[in-house]
Amino acid sequence: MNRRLLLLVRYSLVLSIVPLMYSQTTVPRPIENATYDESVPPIPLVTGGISFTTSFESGTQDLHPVVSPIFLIPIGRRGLIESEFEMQTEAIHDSSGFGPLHLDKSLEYAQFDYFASKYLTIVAGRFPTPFGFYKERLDARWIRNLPDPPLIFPFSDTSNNGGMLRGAIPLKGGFQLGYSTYFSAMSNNEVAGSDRQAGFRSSVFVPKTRLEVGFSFNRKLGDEHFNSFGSDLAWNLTRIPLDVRSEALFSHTLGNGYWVEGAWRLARYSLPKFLRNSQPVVRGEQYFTPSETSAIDVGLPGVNTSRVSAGWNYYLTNSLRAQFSYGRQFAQDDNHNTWTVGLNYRFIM
Amino acid sequence: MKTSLVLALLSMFALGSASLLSGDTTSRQKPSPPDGELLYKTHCTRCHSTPPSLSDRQTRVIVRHMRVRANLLSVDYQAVLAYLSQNVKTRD
Ligand code: HEC
Repeated sequence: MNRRLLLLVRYSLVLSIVPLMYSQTTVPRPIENATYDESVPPIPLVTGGISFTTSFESGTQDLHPVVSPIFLIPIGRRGLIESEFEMQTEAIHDSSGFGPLHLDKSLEYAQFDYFASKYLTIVAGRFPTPFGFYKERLDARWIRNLPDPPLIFPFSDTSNNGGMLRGAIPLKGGFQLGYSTYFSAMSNNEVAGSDRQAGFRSSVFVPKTRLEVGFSFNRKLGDEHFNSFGSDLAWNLTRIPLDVRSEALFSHTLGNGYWVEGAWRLARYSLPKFLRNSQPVVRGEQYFTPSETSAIDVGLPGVNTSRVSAGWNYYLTNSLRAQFSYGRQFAQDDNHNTWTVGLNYRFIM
Repeated sequence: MKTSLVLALLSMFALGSASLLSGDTTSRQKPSPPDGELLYKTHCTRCHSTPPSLSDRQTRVIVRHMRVRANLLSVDYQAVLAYLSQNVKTRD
């Protein structure tokens, strides 16, 4: 086996042993000193999102419906099966009419989570890649602040077929250390494909200031082996109602890039209802191609690209949101504007 | 190769220091009970808008889902669950 893979496996082992050591030093059972009535069992749920967006950009219009049901099945006191299936299509209309329609289906995740101890959750199956946080936390259409994901997102927009160890450990001063470490086998399945890869994300969260800083590492182990690094920051400011989020990607093989986004939570102010239900958003981002061209194509831009975007989300109800956005992209020979209007709905049954 | 080695060592060092710095004092002193409402406010709007009011049984599976997704500390998970269970009808 490749020596670097061995290192990652060793790293994963260390990660799993540390939490297990912790669990041995504390009172063993019940695992969690529950202060809620445990006789009420959790029930299986179907939840998810439905979204419809339409974008206008230099002579073309694009209609983009997405349906993504999620199934949550609790297993005993320590287990959970969670699965999301996503279906989407893109109808592109230009001067010659509508292009052909193709229904894209993908199994985003189908994982079994087992709470092995206070500090360790074991995950097996298919799960989203914990590289940076966009894929795990912001990708759902009803969560994204802007309809288009960041330019560097295609790198982490993958799911893994394999295993993951994750959890959080309390540190002194109220800080929390979060970790997720994973490996994935290669699969060419059309709906549930994955790369052979391994990696981790670790982060420190400061609850008082609601600030989280993370670091990610990924090693692709397919035909070409290479490393990529990521850093991320999420800060939900408490003094002013502003959410600041940012991610950066550093990869010798795939290029470098970053995005920074700010979103205002006006709901906190005593403003007219229209403004309280609104969320203005701005994002700036850049991507730089690698100095040596690579045969690997993960969907990142082919040339150096910058983009600025601004958007306005309006919460019609707690689960239904209207989205408006404008983005201007600057790239070699391709400067263009994109206007997007959309509706996102989150359901829980 | 070197980079991976340095990274692996760094991570082990980070975890090692984490275990030394650990704020978990269950085996040494009695911790003050966690404030479920504060923890709910700290965590549950970090990634998305305010969650809707749900039944107690729905809340239990969703908070379990969020425990994995958000790498919630086990104590925070329990405190949020207790808070939401007690405030099922009044919250929002
Ligand atoms: C780290 C980010 C993060 C935090 C913190 C977080 N959530 Fe979520 N939440 C998500 C994501 C991502 C989804 C969507 C899951 C998906 O689409 O796969 C979600 C979905 C939900 C849903 C819809 C049903 C479901 O389970 O998918 C509810 C309700 C919810 N969260 C409530 C909460 C509550 C209550 C808390 C506080 C304990 C919380 N969230 C904290 C990221 C987060």
